[in-house]
Amino acid sequence: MLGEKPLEREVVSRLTSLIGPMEDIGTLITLLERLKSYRERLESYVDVEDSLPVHGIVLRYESE
Amino acid sequence: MRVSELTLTEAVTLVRSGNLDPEALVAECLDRIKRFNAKFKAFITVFDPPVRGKTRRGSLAGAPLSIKDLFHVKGYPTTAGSIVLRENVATYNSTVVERLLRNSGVIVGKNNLHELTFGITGFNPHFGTAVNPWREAYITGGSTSGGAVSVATGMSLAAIGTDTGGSVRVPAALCGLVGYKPTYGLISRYGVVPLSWTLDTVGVITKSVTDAALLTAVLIGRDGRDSSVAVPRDFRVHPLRTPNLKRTRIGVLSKYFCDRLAEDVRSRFEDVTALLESEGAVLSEVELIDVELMSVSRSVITHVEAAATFGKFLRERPQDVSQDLKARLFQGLTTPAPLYVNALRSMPKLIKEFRRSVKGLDALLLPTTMVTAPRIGQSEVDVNGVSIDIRAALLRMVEPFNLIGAPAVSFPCGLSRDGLPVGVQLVGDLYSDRKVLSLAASLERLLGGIKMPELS
Repeated sequence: MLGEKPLEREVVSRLTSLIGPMEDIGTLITLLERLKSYRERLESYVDVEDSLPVHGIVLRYESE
Repeated sequence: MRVSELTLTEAVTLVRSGNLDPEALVAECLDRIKRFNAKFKAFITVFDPPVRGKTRRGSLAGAPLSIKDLFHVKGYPTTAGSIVLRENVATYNSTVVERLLRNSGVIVGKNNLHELTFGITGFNPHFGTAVNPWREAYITGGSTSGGAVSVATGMSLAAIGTDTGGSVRVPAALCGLVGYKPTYGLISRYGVVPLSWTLDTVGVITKSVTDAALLTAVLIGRDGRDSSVAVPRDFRVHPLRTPNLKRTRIGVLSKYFCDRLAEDVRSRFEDVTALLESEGAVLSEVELIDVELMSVSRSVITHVEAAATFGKFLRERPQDVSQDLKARLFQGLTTPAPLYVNALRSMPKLIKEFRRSVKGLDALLLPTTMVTAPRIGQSEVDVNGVSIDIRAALLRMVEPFNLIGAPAVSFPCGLSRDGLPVGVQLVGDLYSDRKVLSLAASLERLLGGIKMPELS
């Protein structure tokens, strides 16, 4: 079971102190997998030259 | 007919012609709150006497309205649906509240919502989950859950909410009402507890599309206190036009959006497309490119920005945050910064692609949700034998348009075989709000509307 080995206990303990109580370490694994998939999809979508916008500014530009 | 059954537009017309005393209307709504709020959990705070402005002459004509408990009303707590913020008493009015009062709106209370407005089901462990008036063991949808209940039960004539991923359109659809999310940036969020400042949009829940236009017209306007507000010159949403549906060009979003629909939703949606065709509208199938990426980016942005605002509650008040919300705040807190930045960077391209897809069309048409209202406590729904996470089932059709910032209106298109409302959605290009609402009003007239359930 996750969280039983010393290293896993250490991970849970550190995450708890950084973020808050973690009652289900299993969700962390699912979450990391989801974030990995998101990262891959977004990295392949945005180009090097794409800048960082703010939504309001994008739309304000569109409205002019 | 009870006066609380009137639409906002009908009530305003009757008051102006001297045929209705607005005080009688307010009294009836307050009476219904007293009788039904404990059961339906529509309000967190009730104003009795109600909050009013100085003027009684304005476009809202003294109509009783309710507002999501995210908007500051001076002197009252803004809880955002959590006991963590129960002592958060506002020292000023939000711009939206100022505008309502300036236009003679009367605010009868602050509506219940999903815990910290971060969810699509309406789940609230602190103030109770709002109950669907169509069937009491069923959810209303969220996050503007109490707003939908209060309008559907005649506790207020219209409700103001926010929509970051479908939060006015979904509860409106599940409760048989109209939910309108305007183009991003038309209404100030000053004095509104944020979920995601990149995506939060003030929207309304009403009994008719015309009501949505009337109420939104009061709320739109520049505000130096919210730098995201951008209103094009001469922009209007009200009065609506009465377009002839003949030769209206409607893009039907079947791929991705209609791949998985509950049978009743599909059937009602097909009724709508058949009706449009019989009226001479020109329907074409449209596919939105990278639509899944719109949902991915919206999800990443919302989780991270929500965690930036509410994440500290996980450390400071863990006992007061539900397990459900903890998991989502945790996702926001652990999302790598480059992923969040790339989600923001994806937005201009996705917006550009969307605008290219809708060019030459008057509006896009799609169902609002995959399913009708699920039961309270249900975590998955069955769609034609396939089990789907309830959040995915409720978000799929609505959230992409938050990332784009496009105007979208959901309105009822009938009932399922077991008597639950089904919603259909029209979506338009940026700033085409008036056209989208006008088409929706025409279609709403043809569909004939649905009668709200009697309360016991």
